[in-house]
Amino acid sequence: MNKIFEFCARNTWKLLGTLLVLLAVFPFVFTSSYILRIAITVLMFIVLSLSLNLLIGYLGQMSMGHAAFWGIGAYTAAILSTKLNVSSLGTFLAAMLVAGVFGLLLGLPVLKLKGYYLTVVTLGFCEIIRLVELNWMDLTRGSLGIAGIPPLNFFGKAFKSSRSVYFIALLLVIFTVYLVHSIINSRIGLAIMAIRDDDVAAASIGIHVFVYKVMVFIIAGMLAGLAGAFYAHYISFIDPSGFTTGQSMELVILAIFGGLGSIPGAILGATILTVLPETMRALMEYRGMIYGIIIVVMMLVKPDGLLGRVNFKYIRQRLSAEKAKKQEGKSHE
Amino acid sequence: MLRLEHVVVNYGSIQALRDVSFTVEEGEIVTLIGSNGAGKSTTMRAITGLKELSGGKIYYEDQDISGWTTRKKVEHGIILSPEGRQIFPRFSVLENLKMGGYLRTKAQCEETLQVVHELFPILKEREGQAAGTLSGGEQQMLAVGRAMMGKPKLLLLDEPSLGLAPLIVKDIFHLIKQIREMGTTVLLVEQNARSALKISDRAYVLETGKIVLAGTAGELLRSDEVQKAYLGM
Repeated sequence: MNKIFEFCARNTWKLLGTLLVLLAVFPFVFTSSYILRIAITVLMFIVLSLSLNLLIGYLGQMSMGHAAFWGIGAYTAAILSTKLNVSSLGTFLAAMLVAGVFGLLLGLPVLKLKGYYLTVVTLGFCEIIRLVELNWMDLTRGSLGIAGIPPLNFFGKAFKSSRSVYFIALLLVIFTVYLVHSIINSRIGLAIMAIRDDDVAAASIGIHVFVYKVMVFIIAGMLAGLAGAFYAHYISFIDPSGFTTGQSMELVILAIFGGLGSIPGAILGATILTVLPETMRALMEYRGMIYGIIIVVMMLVKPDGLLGRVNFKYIRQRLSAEKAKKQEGKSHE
Repeated sequence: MLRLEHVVVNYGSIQALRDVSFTVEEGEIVTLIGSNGAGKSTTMRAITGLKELSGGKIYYEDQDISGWTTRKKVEHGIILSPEGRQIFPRFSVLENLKMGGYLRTKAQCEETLQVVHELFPILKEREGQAAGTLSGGEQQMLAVGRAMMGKPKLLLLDEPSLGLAPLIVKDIFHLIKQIREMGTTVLLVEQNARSALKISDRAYVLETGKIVLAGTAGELLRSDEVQKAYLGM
């Protein structure tokens, strides 16, 4: 396995390029609308998993309320597009803004909380949002949901075909990966991970623990809101049953399964756990049980998730140090 | 350099510090000794702004810093190496050190990094290693080294010998002396009273949140009360 990781670390850019080409040709090779629907769902869950990974994996704050941000984004887009005829660019931005504001609202009171207490508050937050969605009839139509959400449309052009929606989802994933990668590999990212490892130590060297915690809550909320807006336009009907605490837990499973604090892990986790239930359709009622068993076994065998302990940056540093040593040895000879 | 005046700190209804006053002069090593729960770490947290004061004032270089944030205090050279070797275990040794200079420029960090490497050569050898895989003594050196990266004028060391083997403890205290010789003032919190007093100029004894004894290190080493309570004699 180490050899594979070393290979990936050595050839990151080549592999990324190949992956992008494969993803670009995918909808031309697999034209079935069923397969494309799964692919689009996978891409959307990658955005959700990456955004949650920022909170859990990089900041170390266990949130069981992430589906609330997804729902806030979806409802913002649905309401704006059905009532005010706002285009998808507008609904995407508004969804991010509104979910970001809720991220701030959740981030502020939970700053002094840790562990179980924080988890309980985020669960409560998700439940409050669901109840608002369920009971604010004038705005959300309650359990009737909002139907007839227009398809994605940018600059006056509607994107109705599965293939075009697939490419928009792919762009959202690329944007999210770029954003998360840029944050994590910046000074801000180091501060965020320092807070995760030890917030007292982080504060003692002058890191604004308060500011960074709130900032991550806002960004994670915005990205989940973006996924929500995309979902609303894609699926064209939403109701509160899609954004429950149960859904939040599934998102946590995606992030943990792939490996916390790892971008490739979040992508892999979301892909495997979205595709897996689809491949087991023939098993009918047993598939839920098998899905559960796979997760239990995985957590027993590899509690850090698939790529939780794999740090490609360190592997690259180690490889280049080894290479430098070898070259030094040769020049001495 | 540092002056605490009637400092009170509460944790809810529990008073952790009661009317604590003491001073630290520039260039000194001053030690706070006391048993578990005496309020030593709370004092350090209060000085660095990690714990809010419920009463009293703290002065640093004749400025009232009672309301300053931790960040502002770090910028002015008051830096804490917290209790329990609180390093960042998943970061490499070098990244941990660089984090210590988080508020400084890259060039300033590079300059200080050389000094820290001279002080702790083992950290240079282990720079690519994950900090969590270091031995206890090395982790303590890293914690102190990281604090040094912020170029402290006043270094607060909270229990630097905690849980370390006697030989390593000796090294740590030797390093603290070296740090003072480099011009850094040190406020030390220690349970290992004998070793701490040997390298200190002055010391204060803290009991249940109050200063009960003060004097030069020599006086306290000879004090019957200190000998009985903290030196096991």
